[in-house]
Amino acid sequence: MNNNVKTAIKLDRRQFLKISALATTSGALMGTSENRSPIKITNKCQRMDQKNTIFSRQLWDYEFVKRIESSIDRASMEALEKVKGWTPLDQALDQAAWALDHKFASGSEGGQPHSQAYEWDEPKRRKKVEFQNPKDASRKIKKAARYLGANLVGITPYDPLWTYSRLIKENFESEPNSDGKPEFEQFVPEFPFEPKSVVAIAIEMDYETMALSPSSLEGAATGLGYSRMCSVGYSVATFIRALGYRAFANGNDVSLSIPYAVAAGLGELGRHGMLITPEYGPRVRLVKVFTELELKPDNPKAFGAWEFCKNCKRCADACPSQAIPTGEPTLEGKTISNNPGVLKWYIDPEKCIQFWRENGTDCANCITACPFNKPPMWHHQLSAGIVALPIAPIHAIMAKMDKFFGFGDVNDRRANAAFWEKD
Amino acid sequence: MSLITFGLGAIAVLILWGITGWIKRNQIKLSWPSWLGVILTALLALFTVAWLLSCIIERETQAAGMGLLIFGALALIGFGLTRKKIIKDTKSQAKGK
Ligand code: SF4
Ligand code: SF4
Repeated sequence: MNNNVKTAIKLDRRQFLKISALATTSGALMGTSENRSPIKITNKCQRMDQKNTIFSRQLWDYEFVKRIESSIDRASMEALEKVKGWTPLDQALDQAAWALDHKFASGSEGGQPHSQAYEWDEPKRRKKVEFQNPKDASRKIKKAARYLGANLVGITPYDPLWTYSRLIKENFESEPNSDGKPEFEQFVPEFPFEPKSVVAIAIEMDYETMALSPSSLEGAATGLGYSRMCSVGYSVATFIRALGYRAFANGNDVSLSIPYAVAAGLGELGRHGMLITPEYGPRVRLVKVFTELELKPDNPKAFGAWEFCKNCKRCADACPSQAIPTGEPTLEGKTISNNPGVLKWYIDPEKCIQFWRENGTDCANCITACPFNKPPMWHHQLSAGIVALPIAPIHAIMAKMDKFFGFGDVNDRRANAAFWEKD
Repeated sequence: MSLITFGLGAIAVLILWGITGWIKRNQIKLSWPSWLGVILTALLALFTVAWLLSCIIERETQAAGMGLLIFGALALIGFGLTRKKIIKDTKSQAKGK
């Protein structure tokens, strides 16, 4: 096997794992069983089995894997190395950006539980530090989280509805079985303590490289987001443990992220199935810290994104695999990786991942194209203020203007080429 | 960013200084619609400059160009209409004298 093919296969496997946000989202449900979310949840919504997430299906859904694999053209994957944005230089940056995640939270991005930074049972201080009340505790935890690198932080009560009913873990120690298929185990998650509160943390991803979607340079933005997720999540959990309370961080491995982020007031759910924050749009990664410490929850926040999405389909237009619906929100999706029972736009994660495979790296066109994905500058903040007005025709005009002004362009190969030339 | 804010502040002061000086020199009394026109046009011109600079910093050249075209055109229209109104004001003042 030559090196190029090796690289291609390695990328294939890793990118399969990298589809976290979308996979989480595809199974994601909005709100919580306490109805803290503004999104409608019906009783058809049940705890999801992690086995059905798009990540985990590669462990057992051989039909699906075969279908995806058959779409890969090895020759064009090798040729990709000559294309700006996919060159060995670009791939090296991508690999380096992922390095901390792979070292300290290996496999977690694909849902593997119990990775180093996301271990559940770490020692804590014996004597508890007392707080005046849950509000005081929340204020201090949030202050520490921001200090430790969180870009956005909110708090919401723990809700078992968003924890996977069963987890799935590849058994890396054992050899693949006689068909060359991986060995795995499934188990019901039993945490070493009863979580009471969830600290939901958003990590901003780099604007400039995210705008180079879909390419390895955009993959670097995603990878750096994951690396920062495990570092910030682990640090915040350590802070809480150092106060004498049990806590652990988790990314894509134990529970859904978006329902917690919405309930904790970090943002709203978008048509592309991701969280949209007022500050960074969908250009964030999410990590949660579960703790036994009682904290005062934040309130969910509506700033006009859900309403805006009804009149904007830029993510759907920018999606190379037509995985994002253009119609009205529904109560169920098309694949087993969509957990039904919540009124939202269900993306098709199978189509999405198929494109990732064909593309030789991942994709974030839906993040890049979203009009909420803007750097923090006054003129974008002004537009955000206008978007918050609940007037549908204004939303439609704003969405058109955003495109007309050239914001959120994707597939820009010239920009990929220019990346290394800029200081 | 602070440089932009400083620059815009300087431009705003210059515009105001220019307008008030010109009014004093020519002893013109502006009606309130003319004042409104002057203020709105000045604000639009400032907005256009600020938009242009911000988009250039952001390296969004298309947005810079489109902004210049749309907001700049609006500022020009505002300038034209206000100028017309001021001329009308001064003429009627001259007649009154
Ligand atoms: S744009 Fe489409 S293919 Fe790309 S990540 Fe989003 S949903 Fe997947
Ligand atoms: S691109 Fe438009 S429709 Fe899609 S999530 Fe963003 S605002 Fe909503």
